[in-house]
Amino acid sequence: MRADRKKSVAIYAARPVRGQIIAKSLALCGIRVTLDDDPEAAIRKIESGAAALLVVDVNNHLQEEIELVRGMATHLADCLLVTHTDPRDRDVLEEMGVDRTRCIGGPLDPEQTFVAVDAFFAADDGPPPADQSTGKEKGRLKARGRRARKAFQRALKAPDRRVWRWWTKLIRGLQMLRPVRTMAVSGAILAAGALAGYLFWCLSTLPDIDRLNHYSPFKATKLYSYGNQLLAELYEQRRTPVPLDRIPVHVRQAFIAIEDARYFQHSGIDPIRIAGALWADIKAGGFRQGGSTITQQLSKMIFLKPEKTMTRKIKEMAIALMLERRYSKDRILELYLNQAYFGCQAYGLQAAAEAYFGKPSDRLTLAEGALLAALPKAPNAYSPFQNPERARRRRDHVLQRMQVNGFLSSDEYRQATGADLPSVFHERAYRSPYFVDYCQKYLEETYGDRLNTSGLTVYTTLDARLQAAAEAAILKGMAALEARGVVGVQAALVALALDTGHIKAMVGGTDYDRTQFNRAAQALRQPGSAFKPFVYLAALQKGYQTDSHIQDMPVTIAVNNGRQTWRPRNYTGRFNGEVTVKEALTRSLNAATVNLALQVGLTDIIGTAHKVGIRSKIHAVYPSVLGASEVTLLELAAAYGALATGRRIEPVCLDRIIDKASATIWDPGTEPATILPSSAVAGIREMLAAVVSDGTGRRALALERTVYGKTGTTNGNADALFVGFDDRLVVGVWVGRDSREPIGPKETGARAALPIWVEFMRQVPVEGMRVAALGSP
Amino acid sequence: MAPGSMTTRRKTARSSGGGGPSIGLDIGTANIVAYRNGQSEKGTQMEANAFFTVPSMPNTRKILEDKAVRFFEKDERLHILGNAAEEFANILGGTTRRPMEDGLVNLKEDDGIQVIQAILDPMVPEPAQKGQPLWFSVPGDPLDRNGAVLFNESIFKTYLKGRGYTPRPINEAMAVVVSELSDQHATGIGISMGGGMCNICFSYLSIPAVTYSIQKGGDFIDQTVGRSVGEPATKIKAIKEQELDLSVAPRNNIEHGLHAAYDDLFASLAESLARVLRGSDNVPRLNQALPIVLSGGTVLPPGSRERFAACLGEVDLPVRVAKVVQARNPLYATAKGAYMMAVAEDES
Repeated sequence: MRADRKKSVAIYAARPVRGQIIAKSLALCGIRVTLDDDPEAAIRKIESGAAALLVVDVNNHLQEEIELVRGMATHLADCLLVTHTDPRDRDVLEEMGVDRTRCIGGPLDPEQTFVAVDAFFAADDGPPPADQSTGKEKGRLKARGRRARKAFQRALKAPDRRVWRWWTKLIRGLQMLRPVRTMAVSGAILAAGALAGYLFWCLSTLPDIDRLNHYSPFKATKLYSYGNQLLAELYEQRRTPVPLDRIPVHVRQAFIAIEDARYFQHSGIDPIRIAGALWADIKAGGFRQGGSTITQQLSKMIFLKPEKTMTRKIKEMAIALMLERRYSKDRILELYLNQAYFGCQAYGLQAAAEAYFGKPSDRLTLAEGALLAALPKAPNAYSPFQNPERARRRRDHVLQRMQVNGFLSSDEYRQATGADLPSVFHERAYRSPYFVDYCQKYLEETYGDRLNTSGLTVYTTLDARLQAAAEAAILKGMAALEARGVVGVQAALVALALDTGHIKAMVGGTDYDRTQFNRAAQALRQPGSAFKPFVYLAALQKGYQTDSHIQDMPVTIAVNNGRQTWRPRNYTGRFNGEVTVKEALTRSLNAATVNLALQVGLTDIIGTAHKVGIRSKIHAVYPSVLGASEVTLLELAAAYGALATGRRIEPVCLDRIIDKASATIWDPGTEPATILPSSAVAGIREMLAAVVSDGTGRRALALERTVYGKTGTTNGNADALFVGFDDRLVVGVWVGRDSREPIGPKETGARAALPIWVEFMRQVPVEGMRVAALGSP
Repeated sequence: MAPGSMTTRRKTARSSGGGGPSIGLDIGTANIVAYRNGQSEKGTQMEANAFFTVPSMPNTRKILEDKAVRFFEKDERLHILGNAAEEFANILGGTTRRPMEDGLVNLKEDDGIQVIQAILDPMVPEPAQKGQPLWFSVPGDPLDRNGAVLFNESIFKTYLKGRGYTPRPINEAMAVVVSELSDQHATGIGISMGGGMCNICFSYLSIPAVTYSIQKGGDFIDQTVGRSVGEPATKIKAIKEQELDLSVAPRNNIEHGLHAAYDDLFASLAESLARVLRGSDNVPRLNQALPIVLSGGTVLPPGSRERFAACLGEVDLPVRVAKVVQARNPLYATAKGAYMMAVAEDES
């Protein structure tokens, strides 16, 4: 039993976490412990001899816990250790009979507790010899306490203490040397230690080169038309990565010759080159030549900041060595050629070849490759556009280095040095700019800043043939207006596919370079009579027929809260009495339309217009039925698409988006929903066909096929519109001035806008386009 | 088995007993991580704890099925789950919804519990042997809201029991200590900064002596900055995760806002740490300085560690701090700690 008791401690703590802390600490130092949540169980362990010492942890501000200690002290004073929260109560505990040396107050102190436990067991090991004085005994206990503290701290430290032992041995060894030698050795060690520390610090803060496995440089996003014609590139860094096997050998050799001739011999660092550069610097009396290999340059470009410090240089070398161990020479060269900056916002060889020569990198000639190899050192200084003479000298130097390194014959060298430098910067394509802007705005809302760096391939809905036709039609229309003495006007056109809502053509103005405001998608203008079909559609849905009779009579409507009156007049100034619904729309009779609107109700008309696709606010006043509320041409065209098909047409500018991992991340694939009954669609189509055959749209008869549409002209001829459709496309045309001043006398929708519409529809290829799957009408 | 009985030996081996491979589960506001297979982290899954609702249309359903996107249908709406939800929200310009908020199950979301379970189902396959222990993370009680996490814990316990496991909760920050400080007797301070809250655990010899949480995290940063610059929180989150570097000067208004919000969060955290540790009887007097480990998605931006260390310098802690380190994989640290507990239990 004595053996079991030895170094066995029973613990009771009123708060379990504190008990666990004491128990774990003692156990860590080799003490056998049991933790009880019942004080009686802990006492029984002492009484039964299972434990020699009882450790009790209490909050001595709580009376019941103090009473608990008092009870224990009565029977177990000799084997009781109390840890308590308030050190001021030590006297109180002593009065209860607890040994003062076994009261540990204040914050829980595992180390002090262990020292006290160890001291208890030291006493328990047996009394000191009788002849020893009290002073010696105190000293012995103090030494034991110190040892206990050290033992506790050692136990709590991380398990590996080999370094400490080695250091201790070293120090002991040094102590045996003579003082002078010791100082010299110590100095050397300190210096070496400092150097080693510095190197260690440099190397310990190296970036993770595994990032290169997932390395993804900023890459331009490309927008294509529906027929795969490149429309535009959106980028922060103009870059198109290209694999090494698509870079001609002579181009690679040009870079190796000028940047790192021993590239295939070294392991990331070239000591010979460094020594040569150092010698050149010494001779020049300053920093003239760098000794960086291609691998070091890549390390700097990808992993480090472009600062000129010793630390950066050490890191650059270390990373270069690591890269060479991890990656092949070809892979490193490929990364370098795709990463380097060549000026003119061109990053990587492919972008540089396109910017300087307007061709892909696999078609670069020897002289062209040499010029590009000349650029990364100082793209602006050696730019053929800014400093042609310096660029030529640098290029010839590259060619000379190629010859020296055996990459060129004398003939090839002579021939290449005679080649001309490029003189024209090849900008990237920016076709159909208004449409590209429209797509970009949409894409930016979705992808934010990533758009210009994510390397997306965006297939738009634009049909390049129809876009060309639209631009030509606008040009022709403008020329006709100028011939009539009308100058300074703007025009816009938008064409949507009826089956999908795809925007097939969009012209937002007559000259993008002068003004980028998109009048097809952004301009809010009054549609005039082009709004009327929505009034008639609402009427058809309320039971009117195309041959129902309505009144084309003067009507007076109070406006402005009754302070004014409004009397709509017809364009001719005459009123026609009773007319059919169809006749009223065909002849665009204002009075008849307002009279009809009074019957149908403004709320239903506005609701119908919104239902078919008008998104802009329509003011709940009667002038709105004659087109006084402003809308965009794009929403008007989309709403006419609903009149044509009975389905809600949402303008769509994107067909699909593919990310740089070739995954399709946008593929809408939704179909327009049917929103109008077929009878209403048939009625409105009949009336819009009559507008062309017998009304204000007669100019469209020149197409010699069935088309539908409606003219629109606003007060003072400030806006002229024609919106119409055939069985595949709905097309809107607007002509007007940005200042909202009149276009010119008699320049109505029929005269200014309709010819452009007709010209565009004339150019639309009848074959080769998908035929809309229309509804029953 | 309580966290206190965790041995200090590094245990990351694949479990062979107990009926199947061990899993450690971290159920956070922003992400759910199921950790498997030890150090290689192969097979570890992380899914956004989010969903995105679209109207149920045959065409939409077909697209989701074709793309193998996980969703379920309820009340004529399709609930797209996990990472796919964020992808769809980004494409369609919407915002995902969260079944958890401020670290706890979001009771304002009617379908929240169902969504979490649907996300968890494929991550937590039924065990080969019924009753296999599964350790999962639970948050600490928010300051001044004792007992707030009990409901949360019981929901997941019930779910995991239903899947055939014996659920074992572990404090989220304690799991970080287990994962990152096991070679230091699991002694130190673990801090898990997630989307909804920051969890803090002072651990001494693997005993979670003090645990608590503050209900501020990554979402707080996104929303605060979003409100102040007038941008949606999702955009702020994307910028924070992809571009933010707290070690360099901010380049625009959004980055200014993010720097300020991070400083505010770190200052709150440091101040609470000092206050809670000072007020606790469970913090022992220690001669040794302790490490602090930071984990969670919110500490991913470079410079977070240094910024937090600077804030710590402004407060008076009752323990000395040896160093502030970032977890080896901040996104997986909690789940890895839970996994290590599972392996330790399995081996004991």
